[in-house]
Formats: sequence, structure tokens, C-alpha cells
Amino acid sequence: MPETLTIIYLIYTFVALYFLSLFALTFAQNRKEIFSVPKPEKDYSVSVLIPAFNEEDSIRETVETALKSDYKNLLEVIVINDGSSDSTLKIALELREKYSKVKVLNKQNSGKADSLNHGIRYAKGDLIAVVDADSYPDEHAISSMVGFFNEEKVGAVTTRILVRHKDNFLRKMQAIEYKVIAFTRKLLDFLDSIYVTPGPMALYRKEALIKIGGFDKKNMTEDIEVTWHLIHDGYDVRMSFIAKSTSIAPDTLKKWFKQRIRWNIGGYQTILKYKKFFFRKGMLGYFILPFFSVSLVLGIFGLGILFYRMSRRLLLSYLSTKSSIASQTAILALQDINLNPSVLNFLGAVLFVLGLWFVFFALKTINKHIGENDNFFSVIFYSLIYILLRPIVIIVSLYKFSTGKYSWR
Amino acid sequence: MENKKHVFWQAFFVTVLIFLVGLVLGVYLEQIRTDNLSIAFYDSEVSLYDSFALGKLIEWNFTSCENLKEASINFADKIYGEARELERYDEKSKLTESIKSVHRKYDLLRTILWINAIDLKGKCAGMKMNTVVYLYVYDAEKIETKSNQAVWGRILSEVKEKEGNNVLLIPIAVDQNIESLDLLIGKHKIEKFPAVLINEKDVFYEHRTSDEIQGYLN
Repeated sequence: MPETLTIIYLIYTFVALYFLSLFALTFAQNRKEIFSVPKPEKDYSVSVLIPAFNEEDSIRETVETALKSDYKNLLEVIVINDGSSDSTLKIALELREKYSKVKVLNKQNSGKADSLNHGIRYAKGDLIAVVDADSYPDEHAISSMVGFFNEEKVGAVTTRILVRHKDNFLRKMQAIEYKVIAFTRKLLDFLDSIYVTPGPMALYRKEALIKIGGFDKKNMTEDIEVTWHLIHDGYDVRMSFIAKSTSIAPDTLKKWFKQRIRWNIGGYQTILKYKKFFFRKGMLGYFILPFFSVSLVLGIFGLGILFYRMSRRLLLSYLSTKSSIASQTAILALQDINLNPSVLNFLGAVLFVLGLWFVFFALKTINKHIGENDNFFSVIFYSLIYILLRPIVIIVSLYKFSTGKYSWR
Repeated sequence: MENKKHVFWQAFFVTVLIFLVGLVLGVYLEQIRTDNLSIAFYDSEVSLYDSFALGKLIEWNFTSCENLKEASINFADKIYGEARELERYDEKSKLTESIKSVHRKYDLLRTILWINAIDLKGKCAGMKMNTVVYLYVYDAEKIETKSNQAVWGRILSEVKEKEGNNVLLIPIAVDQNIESLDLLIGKHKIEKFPAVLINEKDVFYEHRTSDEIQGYLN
């Protein structure tokens, strides 16, 4: 009987291989439809909501970018000032003077979800576009997303979210990550399993948002929660893979860590809220919840196994070296070097190669479309090192979540 | 929707297929390693019987103690080398336990070699031959024990390298349920492991330098 750690490793490998196979097969079966978007059959009016809290550096460009949309029936761009203490409100009011479509709502600080709900009450459009105040949807974004609403069941549509300024190494890593996430999300679209409509650009059917009671004010990631809520209530969520919105990614590790902690805590809140639907309620219970939860568990276990093995090996090396020095014998002998691979090494290698292939394939697919390139060594660094930060974030956020030590800002 | 459900099953079957191929190849690889060691084991078994035969011949004065010593040392060196290879494979054996049973057979073989060496020293009084028996734990879980054993392994290799044919180095795992070995261990009152027993007289539990060990040899 193999030992416990071997069994855990085999289960881990199996689950990871399963998801890779699922994505590979989904791509193979839908590759011709990746970039296709339906032609709009109805002339939906669209209101753009931009919630803003202390966004004086970016709000002007975000509003002006939204106004440049080529969608003809863009009714209004509503800036909801969420009690900013900087000059966000002043800039918003200036923009209102300059552009007739710009409207400004001013309220006390109550968080992003509440600001959006406030905006929904004033919005006149059939569809609501939510754009973060530091994000920039391209001019075709809305027009390439509206067609998905031909189907009455569609409650929300998302698009590719990419990194705006790739001016440092951390942002380059995030740029690769965002592209891989966008590709994976499109594959999830074919499985009716998109689990988030990210804040930098998402289009919602207003009637659906009203029906579900808007965004959840208590959730740290209202964009995940609203997606699950829509799916729970029988709506479909789709993705336009030809449009994009760029967003300003954190430029320091500290900001990055804070953002990821928030995302993860929001994820845990959402899992807890919908836990009773595990293996019930269509794709939400049969795939999204298990997929979301398993990917968290895989991250924790992956790091756990790695940490356990590395710490044992380090401790063993430390103790052996210490005793070897005291005994005046060789610190490392040729006989200690074991180059015989085990079956677990082979499976690990297969998993790594397939994972790497997936990353390269996702990047190739997106880069070909947007005319970009990613440095080979950056991709390797992303696959070997950057990705290892995720389990650390999962564990820290789990700790914060279980002890209640978290807040939105 | 039907099509979407299919892909979940298809992915499952593809994964099972990849996984099964991996497991079958893994078991096959481990089996090949066990087979290779089994062949070496049978070869070593023949060498052991040969040294038994030499033991008989010395009683009939057909051969000298030196010849018998040389045969025992050569045999010990041979199985020491095989033991190293065995341990390398053993560390990487994750799916089957076949290597474990080969290990047990080797431990028995080395116990017999030890008994034979004691016997030889009795028959050839005054012959210069040192037995260094290294008793270690095969299934050591504690890191302290593992590191302790790794260092002992290096020290004793150094001793063997310096002393050459003057030393019969016999490493034996003590947790393999070998009754004759348990009796020998009890006779020498060895209670904790790893331990190094030199010429059935001096027992060491704590590390010594190779020079210090050499000081206890004849």
C-alpha cells in the first residue's frame, strides 16, 4: 500500500490532469467559436456605471474612454462618487460640464457594491455596463458584447481584462496571468461556467440585476457574487473574446498581496453563501462551486506538499551537515546523489509540461489577436515562481477570513 | 447542453487513461528494478554458499584462512555495492513493495555473512580481519534518525575506503523481523539504533570520526 503522501500526490495529480484535459477538449471542440460574437437583434440602450473612490488619477481617462465607445445607443455614463476625499468629485463635475452624457451621483462612502446599487436606481438603460474607475474598455467592447443578450436567458456578459501599463516586472507577470485567466474564462463560457464578471468591464441586463436585488454589499468581491447569483436564478453568463478592457494592475508586491487577499476572501464569502447548492442547481452546484473550491484546495495542498517535503529535506540536510562537520566526514558524498526518478517524478513532469503548454497556448491565442508578445523567460518565471505565490495568498486570506481580520479598503 | 455534459465525461476518461498509463509504466519500472536486484541477489546467494563451502574446506585443511578471508571480504564488498543500489531504488519505489522484500532477503544474507565472519574468526585465530557491523533502521521516520544514519553511512564508507580488505563492513537493517539477527543483537546488548559494532566488542551510538573508528580496529 503506497504511503499517505503518495496517495495525496496521486489525487492531486489526477484532479489537476482532469482540469487540463477538460480545458484542452473544450478548446478542441469549440475552437472555431472562440472569437465569434452574435450580431445584436435588438437596439438595447446602455448606461455605463463608474463607481469611484479616490480615483483622481484615473477617473478622467476612464470616463473619456467610456464615451469613445462605438456603440450607438450609449445613453449615459454615470460616475458615482463614493465619498472620495480627493478631487474625484471635482473632476467628475468638470466632465459633466464638458460632456452631455456624463452624469454624477454623489454619496457618502459605503463601498463599491452599494455605489453600484445606487447607480442602478438612476440608470435608464436596458443594459448596465460596470466599469472600474481605473479601467479602460476599448471602443468596440460594448458593441461586441450586446449581441449575447439576444438570448433572453443571458443576464451578464464579460470580456477580456488585460493589464494596462506593463512597466515593471510584477505587472508583466500579471499581464501574463490576466491573459491566461481570460483564455480559461472563455473556455468556461462553453461550459456555462463563467464564475466572475470582473469589475473592469461587465455588461448586465438591468432587469436581471433588479430581480436579484443588485450587488451584495457584504461581499468583498461583488463581481463574483453577482455572477453566482445570476446563475443561481437561472441566467446565463457569456464572454466576448474579441473585445477587451485594460486595467491598472498593482505595481508593488504589497498592493498586489492586498488585492489578492480581498479577491480570495470575497471568494470564500461567496462559497459560504452558496454552499448549500453543492451538487445541486445546475452548473453552479455541479461545476462552478466544486471547481472554485477544488482549485483553492489544490493550491493549499500543492503548497502544503511542497513545503512539507522541502522543509524535511532542508532539516535533514542541516542536521546531516552539522553532524558531518562534527564527525569530520564529507558533507556530501557521491553516494547521496540519487538520480533514479520515481513514477511520481514522471507524473509531476507530465503535469508541469502540460500546464506549461496550456500557458503558452493561451498566450499564443490571445497575443495573435492583440498583436503582442510575451518574453519567453517571463512566461517561464510566471509558470515556475509567480504561480507559487497563489497558495500563499490562499492560506493567508483563509486565516484572515476565519479570524474576521479583513476590510474592503 | 448535452454536448457540454459529454466533455466532462470525455475529460474524465482521458485523465483516467493518462493516469493508468502512468501507473502501469510506474509499476513496470519498479518491477524492472526489482528484477535486476533479484538477479544480483541470486548471484550473491551463490557467493555466500561458496564462502560456506570454503569454511568447510578449511576444516579439512584444503585451503588457508587468508583465502577464506579474501572470499568473505570480496563477497561483503559485492553485497555492499548491491545494497547501495537497492537503497537508491528503494527510495524511489512508490507504488509497489517488491523492493522491500528484496531488501529483507539482503538483510538476511548480510546476517548470515556476519555469522559466517564470527565463525571464520573462531576457526582462524590470529587472522587480521575486522568486522564492522552497522545496524540501522530501515523504516526510519524521524528526521534525526535519518540524518544520523546518513552521517554514519559516510563515516563508515570512509573507514572502508582507508582500510580496504582489512575491514568487513556489514550494514544490516534491524527492523526486518529476522530472528537470527534479533538474537545476535540481544547477545551484544544493543538497545538503540543506529549502532556500530566493531569486532563484536565495541558498540557506538554517537558519531565518531573515521580516525577514531580506525583506532578500535586490529
